[in-house]
Amino acid sequence: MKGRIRKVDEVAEGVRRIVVDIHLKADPGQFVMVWVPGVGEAPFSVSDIENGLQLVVALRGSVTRKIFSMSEGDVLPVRGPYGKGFTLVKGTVALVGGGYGLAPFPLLSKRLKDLDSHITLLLGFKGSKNYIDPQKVGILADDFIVATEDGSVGFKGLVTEILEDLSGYDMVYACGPERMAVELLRIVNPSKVEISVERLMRCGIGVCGSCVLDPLGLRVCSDGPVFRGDVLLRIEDFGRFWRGWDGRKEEIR
Amino acid sequence: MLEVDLAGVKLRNPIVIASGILGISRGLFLRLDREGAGAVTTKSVTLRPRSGNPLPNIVELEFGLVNSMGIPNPGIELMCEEIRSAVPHMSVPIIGSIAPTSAEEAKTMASLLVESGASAVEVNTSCPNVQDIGINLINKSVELVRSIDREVDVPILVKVTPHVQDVPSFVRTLSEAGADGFTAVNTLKAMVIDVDLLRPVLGGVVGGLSGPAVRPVAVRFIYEIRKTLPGAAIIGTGGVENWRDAAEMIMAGADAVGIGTALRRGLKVINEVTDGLRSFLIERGLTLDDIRGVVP
Ligand SMILES: Cc1cc2nc3c(=O)[nH]c(=O)nc-3n(C[C@H](O)[C@H](O)[C@H](O)COP(=O)(O)OP(=O)(O)OC[C@H]3O[C@@H](n4cnc5c(N)ncnc54)[C@H](O)[C@@H]3O)c2cc1C
Ligand SMILES: Cc1cc2nc3c(=O)[nH]c(=O)nc-3n(C[C@H](O)[C@H](O)[C@H](O)COP(=O)(O)O)c2cc1C
Ligand code: FES
Repeated sequence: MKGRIRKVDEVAEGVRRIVVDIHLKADPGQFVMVWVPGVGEAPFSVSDIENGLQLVVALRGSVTRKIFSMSEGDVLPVRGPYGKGFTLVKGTVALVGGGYGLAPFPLLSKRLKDLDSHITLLLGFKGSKNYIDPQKVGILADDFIVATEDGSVGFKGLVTEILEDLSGYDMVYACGPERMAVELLRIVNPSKVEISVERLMRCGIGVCGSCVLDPLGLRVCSDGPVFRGDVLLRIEDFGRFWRGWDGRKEEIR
Repeated sequence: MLEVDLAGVKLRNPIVIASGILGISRGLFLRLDREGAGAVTTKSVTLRPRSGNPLPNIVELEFGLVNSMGIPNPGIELMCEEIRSAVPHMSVPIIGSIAPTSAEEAKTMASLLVESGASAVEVNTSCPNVQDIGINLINKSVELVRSIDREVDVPILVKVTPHVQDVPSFVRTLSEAGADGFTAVNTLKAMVIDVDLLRPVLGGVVGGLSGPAVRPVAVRFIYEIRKTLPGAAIIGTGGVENWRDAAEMIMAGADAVGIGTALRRGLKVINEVTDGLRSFLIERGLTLDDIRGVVP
């Protein structure tokens, strides 16, 4: 599939919302592989699908740099959507995101609202420069709490520090740095949290093994990227290791 | 009723997970075992870690996949650690696949794999996605097999490229050098161009075609190998998506059947194939031996 980029907005320093004229069906939490000819390919969460495919892209390395050099009218090829997304729960739910980890929340929040769920949105950022206004990317929420590490917006601290009592939620959905996810699993009932996990991906379709989480042999691209907390607690690599291009384990910083 | 003997290695069923398909970690070896495979082949391994080709590494087509992975792998030492920690918990054998650059390397890697618990060694001189190894060493296949044969006692399989012209003389020579069997076939050199963008899709430009498109080619290879070497072990691989495809390979002469690309539809495919084969045999009152190489 490919389409032209319809809109590009800078939603925070080094983070862009990109809307592409591609119309697809996807579940919240699924991802697409975006091909940048001549540079590479990388996985991105499907952020929304309502008026074209929305992506929220953070500048990181060569592929994302090239995406940042693109503007309205440029063609973006993608394949997917792939993977297993979030389980939709009707009730009282929390969405916990760190940095660009809020990417899947626009579509997720809409699907949760279709079920009339009550949504509390908790977002964490480094500082005001990194702050992403949830409305600008289309997240729906009944309550919204924000924390920044330097205190420049909202509470000062990590988003996991403001979550004292998450026991009242029927489901907590999370996406963000793995450190945040690990922290979260300390404070919530692991069987009532679903976390979107990142690993290096090659095929994206469950055949190559690059994205494996051991000892369970789970593939992030097709058994995930969303996993339940109690499953992640059984993954030795979770919060610790990530496999590089040659499959060797590297420590997660 | 699905048990097979592959050059002396006992498999509970004929379904072998093909090299490069998920076989890279302890967790995946064990999971493929739980999902019902008869044996698991490791990703082809090289002496040193290898990063593979730039992405995209895969293109999905209606009739298969074209991949240009480029044999990314963590190197023989780490692969052996994964095997060593899996084997005590495995109920099916692991076939260690190697992609050596020389006879010396082949010998070293084969013996390390066997020490770690691999039940057979598969030599990959057929991967089309690399410059320095794989198909570029095809002319050294005999030398590689000889050096491994001197070193290890387990069966040696050669992974065959569908680019081989004269199948009978190719396999006969290798068999004389010490190969116990053949895994046929590896992928067929292929290329995909994006006509809107006027450029090749794969990061490696050229890749290898797998999946249903290559199945008839694989069937013909199996048939020719079986006719040439009635006693060789054969893992028929290429485009098997269901039990009928597996039965076809066995009827052409395969002892076991490799599965790769079909797993993009999920690991459940493994049990679907074995269940289907079993039902077919029961309904027809046949055994695997009855149908193996049955075609004249
Ligand atoms: C399921 C999933 C969903 C994702 N969703 C988003 C999203 O919505 N928005 C977003 O900005 N980013 C997302 N990412 C991360 C994104 O894929 C990486 O930032 C991107 O691949 C970096 O590519 P690069 O070439 O710019 O950087 P590189 O030059 O390749 O590397 C920079 C760093 O990025 C990391 N990285 C590289 N390749 C990958 C990869 N394939 N997967 C994950 N991390 C990688 C590595 O840690 C590396 O050190 C997601 C990743 C996964 C696995
Ligand atoms: C993603 C991918 C990676 C592969 N890697 C290897 C490899 O490392 N070594 C090898 O001998 N064959 C490799 N192959 C070839 C397969 O083992 C198999 O021979 C081929 O794909 C045909 O079988 P299939 O149609 O069932 O996939 C790979 C194939 C694919 C699709
Ligand atoms: S990226 Fe290939 S199995 Fe997940």
